[in-house]
Amino acid sequence: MALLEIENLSVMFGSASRPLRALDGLDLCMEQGEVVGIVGESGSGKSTAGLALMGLIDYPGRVTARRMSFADRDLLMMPESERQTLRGKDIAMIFQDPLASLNPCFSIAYQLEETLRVHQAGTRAELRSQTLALLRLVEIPDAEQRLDAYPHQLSGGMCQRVMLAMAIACNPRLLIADEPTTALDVTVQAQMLELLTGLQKQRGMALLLITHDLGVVAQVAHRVVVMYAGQVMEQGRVPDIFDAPRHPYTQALLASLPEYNVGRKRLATIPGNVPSQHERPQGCVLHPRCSNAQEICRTLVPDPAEFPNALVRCHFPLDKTVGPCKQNLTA
Amino acid sequence: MIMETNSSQVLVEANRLAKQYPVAQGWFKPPASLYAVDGVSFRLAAGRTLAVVGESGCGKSTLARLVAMLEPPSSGDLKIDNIQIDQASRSDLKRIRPMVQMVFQNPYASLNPRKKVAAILDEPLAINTKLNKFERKETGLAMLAKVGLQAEHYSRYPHMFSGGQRQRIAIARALMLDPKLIVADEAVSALDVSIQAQVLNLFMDLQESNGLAYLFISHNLAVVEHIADEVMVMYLGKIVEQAAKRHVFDEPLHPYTKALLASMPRLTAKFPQKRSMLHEELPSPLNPPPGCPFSNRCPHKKDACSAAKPALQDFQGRWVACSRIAEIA
Ligand SMILES: Nc1ncnc2c1ncn2[C@@H]1O[C@H](COP(=O)(O)OP(=O)(O)OP(=O)(O)O)[C@@H](O)[C@H]1O
Ligand SMILES: Nc1ncnc2c1ncn2[C@@H]1O[C@H](COP(=O)(O)OP(=O)(O)OP(=O)(O)O)[C@@H](O)[C@H]1O
Ligand SMILES: [Mg+2]
Ligand SMILES: [Mg+2]
Repeated sequence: MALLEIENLSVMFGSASRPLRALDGLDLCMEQGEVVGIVGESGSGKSTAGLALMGLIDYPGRVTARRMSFADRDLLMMPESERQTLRGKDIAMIFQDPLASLNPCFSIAYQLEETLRVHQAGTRAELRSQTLALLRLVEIPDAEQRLDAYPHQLSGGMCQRVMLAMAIACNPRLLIADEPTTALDVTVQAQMLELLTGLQKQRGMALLLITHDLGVVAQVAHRVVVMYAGQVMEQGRVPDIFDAPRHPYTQALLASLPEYNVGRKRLATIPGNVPSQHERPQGCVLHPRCSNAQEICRTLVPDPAEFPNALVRCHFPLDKTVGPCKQNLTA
Repeated sequence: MIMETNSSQVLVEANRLAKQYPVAQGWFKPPASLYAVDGVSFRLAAGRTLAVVGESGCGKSTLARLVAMLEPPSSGDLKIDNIQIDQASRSDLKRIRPMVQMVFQNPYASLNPRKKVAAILDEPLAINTKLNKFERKETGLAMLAKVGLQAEHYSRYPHMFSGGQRQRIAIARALMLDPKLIVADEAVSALDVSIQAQVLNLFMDLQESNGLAYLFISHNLAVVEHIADEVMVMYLGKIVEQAAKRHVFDEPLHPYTKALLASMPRLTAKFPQKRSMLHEELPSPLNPPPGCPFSNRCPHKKDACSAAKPALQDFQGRWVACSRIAEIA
């Protein structure tokens, strides 16, 4: 039995007359202890997916799904009070904006203790020692001295560690990390990723890693979900997708990376721009930018098609023998 | 001192450039001095790309501002097109300043939202040239075409463009006065990968067509590996290694460069690779360790490393600041 099973999850913003589909039909299945990466360009709906899983999409956002279950419990039918207990305890999230999630007015120890207090009882001394253990777990140097520090007294990397400590405080079974390393230096990012995957393995925690950095996903995830304009274009196992993407978008995205253009000066590009929220095209959302597009792509939205270990939303999926560099999408 | 470029081609020559900022220490203590850039020397030839890499706070943006003449150095000197800036006459400065233009990270913040593209492109010409209105408009439209935008974009406001298009406008503005050097401070860092590719292509095309030189600052090592001719690695305000790109990426010498490259997320190798990770935190620039600034994080540290600051020296045709380099290389 999978830990998380999501079918056709959609999130709409905007008015009824002018709706905006921020997330459009996400299917996602995660096993215990699995690391899944969500990648996509800015505005493709990555954070929206994470927030919807947490049950944190507020009015006027509307969430619909065919099925949404976590550890065999139905998230759709669950009363809000129960959902609240689940949130933070069994499903935790590191939010995209670290400064917005740490309160500048309270010491980090206070904020961690508050997080613990919500889900468990304990004396102050117990909470304090647990807090200290957590700070040590996320490898904050001189943790004792740092207990009473305020967020502004810590570096960006250390704030990110404190957020990780808060997120794993109650031993969640699923951790959603939204761009946990984006604001960090590469050296600090490497430390943070090592820490995150180390804890994930040690605790058998499932990790949903949201990032726009394909390199990060390639290094830490088992599976990857590639999003574009609110839809999942392709999902599958990491080595497969990076070696032989089946969706033209994934292929074009990879082909635009300097790493895939070694020995060649000009980088491959994807013609055109990401469509704005209100002008999503008819048919396949990618078709105006896809050099493989045919008549049917302009009219009919493709359904995700199943391949061994992969789901691909394309009328004309690529042959598995075509690697990301072998075909250049630009005219 | 760095490359054997013909001196007539040298566009920028920096000699022991330093910038020091006073930092308040509280009410009763005198302000401390922070060396944001500390004795940086390099040469950049016309038409070449020098990339600057290093962790946050190592002084990349400060160096960029010094080279772009937005701030004077605290000491050291800067020559652009063979003119020493701090001794230049007004007429020389008037000629030199437009030769160096800057492109910043955030195309949302660097363009005035209340000005149309027309005004954004017109302004540098109106101030610095004697062109009339029609000539200026013609130049502006030609520039839009050059950066891959259309004439219809000329009368739009910046908010009507995507991130990549805005960065093109910022680049077009920087190009209006036909500069010789573009200082690009994280110019592609805020862009999505597919847009990043478009803007990098534009940078490379312009280099070919206009013979532009770039001082290219980026924390994205894959981008640097693609675009740079030469790479300068900075640490706490100092150069720790500088060499041709291939040398730096294929065979880094300084322990810091090695650690930096090992941290780079790769699309091919699986995590965790054999990595020389840095476990210590970056020291405060106000209180760098004695001797070698990298010594507290260096796996090869010996007592002698804390005794004296290592000088940037020639080692096998590259510049490295490490006193133990002959032993550890
Ligand atoms: N509360 C909201 N109200 C209206 N629109 C929203 C809201 N939240 C998100 N959106 C829109 O939904 C789309 C998806 O946004 P989302 O934040 O999920 O993107 P993302 O993939 O996380 O992007 P980024 O990489 O920039 O973080 C965007 O077009 C965004 O403008
Ligand atoms: N105007 C200033 N006053 C005081 N200190 C400054 C000033 N500008 C920069 N600094 C300090 O100088 C050092 C170098 O800053 P700089 O912005 O050049 O770093 P950077 O390498 O560009 O970092 P990043 O990668 O984060 O952009 C930092 O410690 C910074 O805090
Ligand atoms: Mg987001
Ligand atoms: Mg900077």
